[in-house]
Amino acid sequence: LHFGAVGVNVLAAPSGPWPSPEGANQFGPPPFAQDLNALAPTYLALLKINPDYHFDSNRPGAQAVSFVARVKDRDGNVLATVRVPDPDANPWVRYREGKLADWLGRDLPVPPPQGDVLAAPGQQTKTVKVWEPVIPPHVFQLKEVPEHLVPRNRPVFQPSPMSFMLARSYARYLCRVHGGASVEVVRHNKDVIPPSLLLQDGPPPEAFDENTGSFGDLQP
Amino acid sequence: VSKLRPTTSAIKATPPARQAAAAGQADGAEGPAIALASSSWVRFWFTPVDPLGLHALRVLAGLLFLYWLVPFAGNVEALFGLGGWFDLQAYADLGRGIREAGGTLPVNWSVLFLCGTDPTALAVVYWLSLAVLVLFALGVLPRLTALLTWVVVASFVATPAILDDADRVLPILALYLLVGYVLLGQGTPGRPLPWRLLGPLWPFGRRAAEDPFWRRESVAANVALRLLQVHFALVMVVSGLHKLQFGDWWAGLALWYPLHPPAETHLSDVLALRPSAGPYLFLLSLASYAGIAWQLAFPVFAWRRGWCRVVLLGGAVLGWLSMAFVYGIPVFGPALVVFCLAYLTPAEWRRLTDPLTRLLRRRPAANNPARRGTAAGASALVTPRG
Repeated sequence: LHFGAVGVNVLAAPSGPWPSPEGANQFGPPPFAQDLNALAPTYLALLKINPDYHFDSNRPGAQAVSFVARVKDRDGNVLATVRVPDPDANPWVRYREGKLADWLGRDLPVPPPQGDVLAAPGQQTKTVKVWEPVIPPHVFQLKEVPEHLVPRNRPVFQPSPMSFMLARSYARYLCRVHGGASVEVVRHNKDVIPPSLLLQDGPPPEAFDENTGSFGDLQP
Repeated sequence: VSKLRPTTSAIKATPPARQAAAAGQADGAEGPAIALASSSWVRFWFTPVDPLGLHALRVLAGLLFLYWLVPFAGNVEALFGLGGWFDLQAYADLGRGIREAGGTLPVNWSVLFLCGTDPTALAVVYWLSLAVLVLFALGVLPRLTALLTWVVVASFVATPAILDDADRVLPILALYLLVGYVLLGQGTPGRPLPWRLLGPLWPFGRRAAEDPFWRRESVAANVALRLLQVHFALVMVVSGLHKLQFGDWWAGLALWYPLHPPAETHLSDVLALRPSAGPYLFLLSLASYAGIAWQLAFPVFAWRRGWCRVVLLGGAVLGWLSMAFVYGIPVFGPALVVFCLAYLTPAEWRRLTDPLTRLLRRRPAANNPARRGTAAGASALVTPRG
C-alpha cells in the first residue's frame, strides 16, 4: 500500500511537453491515478515523501536569471542594493538564491484578446500585468494594461503568479531588513545558448544578449 | 517484529513453500511459481541481517544532513523563516491562489513554523537541529535521535521557493532510517522500557559491545534497508523516464545546457569549440544516453553483486561529479552516493569497514597501549565488536 501510494503519486504528475495538434503541450495525469491519488493526499505529504521526482535538473535549457533589488526610503533614496544570486555568498546559499531567481524568470504567454471587451456598467475593465518593451528589444517594464489592449501583433508575456508573488515577498523581506519603504526589482535574464550555434557559420550575436525587466517599485 | 521474523534456516527451506511446490508439481507449473515468488518475497523483506549496513548508513546520512544544513548558518532567517524570502504573507497568497484555481492546498508542516517570525527562536531551533544530527551520526540514543532527525529534515524542506532536487530525496533517507531504528532490536526479550523507547545510550564502550542492539541480526534492519532500496530505485526510474519527456535528452544534447550556462558563455567560447564540434557532441550525447541508461536500468543492477557493484557505485560517483561540476548542485551528488551504498550487503560493508577498524585499533595501540580501549570505541561508531 505504501509503495502503491508512492507510485500513484508519481503517475498523478502532469507530463510533457508532448507534441500535439495544437503544438507542444503539457498533459494531465491519467484519471485513474488522479482519482486514486486523491484518496490519501495527506499520507505522503505528512511523511514528506510526496514529490513526483520530476527533478528540475532533468529539464534541459534553463535560462540564466538574476535580479537586482534596490531598497528605497520614502523619498526614493536608495538605501541598499542587493544582487541575487550574490557572487560573494557561499555556494550552498548562492545555489538557493539561484533557485529564487529562477522563479522570477518564469513567464507565461498572455493570450491575445479575442475581441473588444467592454466593462459592465459601473465596473472597470479587467487589467493584466504584461512585460512592455521600453527600449526594444531587450529592456522591459512590467505594466498594467486593460485586457482588451494587450497587443495582438507580437507575443506578449507576463510573470507567472508564483514569480510575482515571490518578487513581492522578497521585497517585503528587504524592507524589513533595511527599513525601506519600497524595493525596485530588476530582472536580468539570458536565453539558453542552443547547441545548434556550434554548427552555424555565423552565430547571431544577439543570441548572447541580456534582457532586462523591471517589476517596478514594490511596496510591502 | 519478532512474530514476523522467520529463522534463517526456515527462509532457506520454507516448509509451506516446499509443500506448495510439491503440490504444484502434481497440479501443474503454477504452484511452484507461486511458492517460489512467495518465498522470494519473504526472503527479500524479512530475512534477519547484520545491522552493520543500517549503522553505516546512519553515520553517512548524519554527515550528509550536516553537509546539507551547516552552510546555511547565518542565513537561516532569510531562507527558512516566516519573515524571510518566502514570508507568512506569501504562504497566504499561495494558498489563496491555489484555492482560486480550484486546487486543494497541499499539507505542509515544519517545526520552524512554530518559531513564527522570531529570528532568535529560529536560530535556537537551527542549532539544536545541528546538535540532533551530530548525535544521530554518533549513534547516541538512536531511536530518539532518528525520530528527531526525520523531524529536522522534514522541517527544513518546507519552503517552496528554494526547494531543490536534494530536498526531494533527503526525507526518504531520514524516514526509513527512522523506521529501522525504531524497530531495531524490539524483539529482544528482557530489555527495559527506556531502551525500547530511546535505544541504547551510545555505541561506545564495553556495554555497547555487549548490547544486542548494535550487532544482532535483525529483520527491522532488513525491512528499513529494503524500503530505502525499493523507494530509491523507483526514484531513479521515474527520473529517467522524466528525462525522456524532453527532446534534448533524446537528441543527446541535454548536457550541453548546464555545461554552457547562458550567464557564463560567450560567443568566443562557442567559436573555440567549433573545430571539435563533431567529437564534442558525440561525447556529450554518449554521456547523456549513458546517464539515462544507468537510471532506467537501475533496478536491474542495483541488487546484484560482482561487476554490477562497479556499475552501481561507479555510476553514483560519476553522478556526484556531474552534479557538482556540470550542474553546480551541491547536495544531490553526495546523496546519490549514500543512497547507492544502501544496496551493499552486510558482508560487503564488513569488507569495507574491517580495514578501518583494524587501522583505528592498531594506531593508538602503537602510540599508546593504554588508549586501546578508546580506539575500539571509535571503531564502534558504526558497530561495536565484542
